[in-house]
Amino acid sequence: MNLTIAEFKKIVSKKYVWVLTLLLVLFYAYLILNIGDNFSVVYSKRALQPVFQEIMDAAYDPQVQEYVIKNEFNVTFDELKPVISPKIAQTIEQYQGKIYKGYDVPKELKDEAALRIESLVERNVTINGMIKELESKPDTPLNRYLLQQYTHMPKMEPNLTRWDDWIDINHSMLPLLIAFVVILGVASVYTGEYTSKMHGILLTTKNGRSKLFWSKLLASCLFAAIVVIIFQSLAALLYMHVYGLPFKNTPMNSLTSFYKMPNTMWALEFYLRQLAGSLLGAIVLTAVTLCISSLCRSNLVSFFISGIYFGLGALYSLSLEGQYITSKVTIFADVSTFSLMSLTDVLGNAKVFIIGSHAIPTIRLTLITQAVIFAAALLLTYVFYNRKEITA
Amino acid sequence: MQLRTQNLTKNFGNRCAVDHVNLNFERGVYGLLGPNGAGKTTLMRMMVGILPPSSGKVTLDGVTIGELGAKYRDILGYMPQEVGYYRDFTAKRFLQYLSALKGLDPKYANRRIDELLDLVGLADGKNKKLGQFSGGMIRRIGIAQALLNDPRILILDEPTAGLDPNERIHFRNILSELSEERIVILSTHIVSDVQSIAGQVILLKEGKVVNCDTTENLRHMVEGKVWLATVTHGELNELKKRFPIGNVLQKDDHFEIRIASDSKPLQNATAVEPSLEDVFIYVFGGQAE
Repeated sequence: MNLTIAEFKKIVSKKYVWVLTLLLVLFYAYLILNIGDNFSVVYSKRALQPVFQEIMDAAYDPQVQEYVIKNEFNVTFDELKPVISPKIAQTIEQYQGKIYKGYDVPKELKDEAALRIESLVERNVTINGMIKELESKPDTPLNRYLLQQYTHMPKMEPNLTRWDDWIDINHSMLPLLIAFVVILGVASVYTGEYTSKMHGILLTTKNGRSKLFWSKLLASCLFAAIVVIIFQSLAALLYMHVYGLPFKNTPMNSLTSFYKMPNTMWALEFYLRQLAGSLLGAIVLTAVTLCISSLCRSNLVSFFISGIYFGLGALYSLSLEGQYITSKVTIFADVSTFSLMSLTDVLGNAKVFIIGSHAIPTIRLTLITQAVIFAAALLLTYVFYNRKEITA
Repeated sequence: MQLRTQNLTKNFGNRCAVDHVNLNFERGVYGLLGPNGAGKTTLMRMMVGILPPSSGKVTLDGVTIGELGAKYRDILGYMPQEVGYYRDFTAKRFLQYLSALKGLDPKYANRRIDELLDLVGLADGKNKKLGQFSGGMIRRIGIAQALLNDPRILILDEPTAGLDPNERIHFRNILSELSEERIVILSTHIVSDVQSIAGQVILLKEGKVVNCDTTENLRHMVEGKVWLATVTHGELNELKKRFPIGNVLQKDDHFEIRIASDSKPLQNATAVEPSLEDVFIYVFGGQAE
């Protein structure tokens, strides 16, 4: 019998893990599938997708830019119609007379197209304004970093690509669900041995210390990895069903949530990093949960303490998001396991912290901190498990 | 092979559970006897390395068991007082899991598991989940798991508790067969368990070793100190306050009792040949069963 496989079977053989995981999967699927019925999903972006290039060209047309700026970013489609590609209007006219849930589809599409052109112009103006402002500011490490980032930002695009939605997969809900299931499965790995009174027998066997410790770690990490794969695949499938695949890669700063952030990354790259972050975060959480499990004597206590560890980081991080500077106030949120699993705030916003004359990406600090937490958790688990006094 | 405890001590707060115990074990069966709370389990836990001593050490051929680590555990078989188990595992799967932990080759392990299940009378229940086992069956699984690696040192904490008389006899016979080439230490507060099989008996009281000798020598120790007397109900109650009382046998309206006392306790008392049970009554003041 292979010990790692035996330990893995012990984790997955718990019925409550499967029942609660299944309930969460159904709950998540219900939430996402419900979104699929709204106007934005069914029409606005899909209908305008064929004229993505024309909308983008319009936003970069000096004549259109001048008109939008002159009207203080408040223009209608009909006003823009004479100066933009006729293909946009032709595409919208295909929906003439169509009503969806009380919405006049062509009217809504016209508003959407105008809004996209308008907001794209506004974003370009904002970025250009930031560059000018930074050029006139004192030469501090932060200003130097921001100037460098903003001047190298990829060309802005009219946010029709669905990447807003795909990036949002890992914003908060999915990391929380993954963390819940990981903690649920792993919290009893050591406490289960104590409650079943197996601890004494295990520790007196040849492989019951070091080898069993590594087997339990490998089995728990395997479980966490499978949970990440299941939930990320499920999310990808649901999002593909509801929104469709993002039809074109796009710079992060073209997305609604990130357009002012000094991020030069592209959405696909960010999404792939989120997947890696999700896996790494789940592994760190596994190590921390194992550590707590090795210290506690009750499954429930181990589950709650692990939940508090992750939950506090998540709450703190979500309450402080939307900045691009790591400060003394935000640092504990920025280096949390939740931040690593989500990456939305710490990497999506291209957060930095300043040390001396350098602006260092906060993600590096997050990775280093999580690596230290991982190593410390393993060491403590080994010590707690092997030195736990058997007195009961 | 020599297993030794040297000044082995364990304190729990202000309470001293095991107090400077020095023992020397070589091949054979050792019975560790004492009332509940005497420190038997604590002593055994330190000897198997799952409870660190407050002071003192346990050595095997001069090397501490901590230094020996996995080498010591490789030749050790341990059955705790309360046998742990996984409710969802079948008996066979449980023993396969422990075989892997003991580093046994899977083919050898499967053969050994069949042998041991047969030995402890659980061959028919090998595919049954442990959650469905009775207390006695769990004890038998506990014995089987301790024997999996054919250990040179076998430490069993209250192995016969919960077994029916037949099972206890069967278990004692197994131990007698096993004792030839190994050290077997078993703790119990049931006198008859050690009387028939233990070469040496260790009497433990309040964490201290009171005596360690053969059954015969221990009996000699209390020769002339065990008395048989016939008393009334009222006299019995009075005597209980003054002397450790052994067997009480009701005969019509009188009681025939065994009393442990350095001097003759009653006029009509007669000195009798002591049994091992009388030794415990004498040493533990009637606390032994």
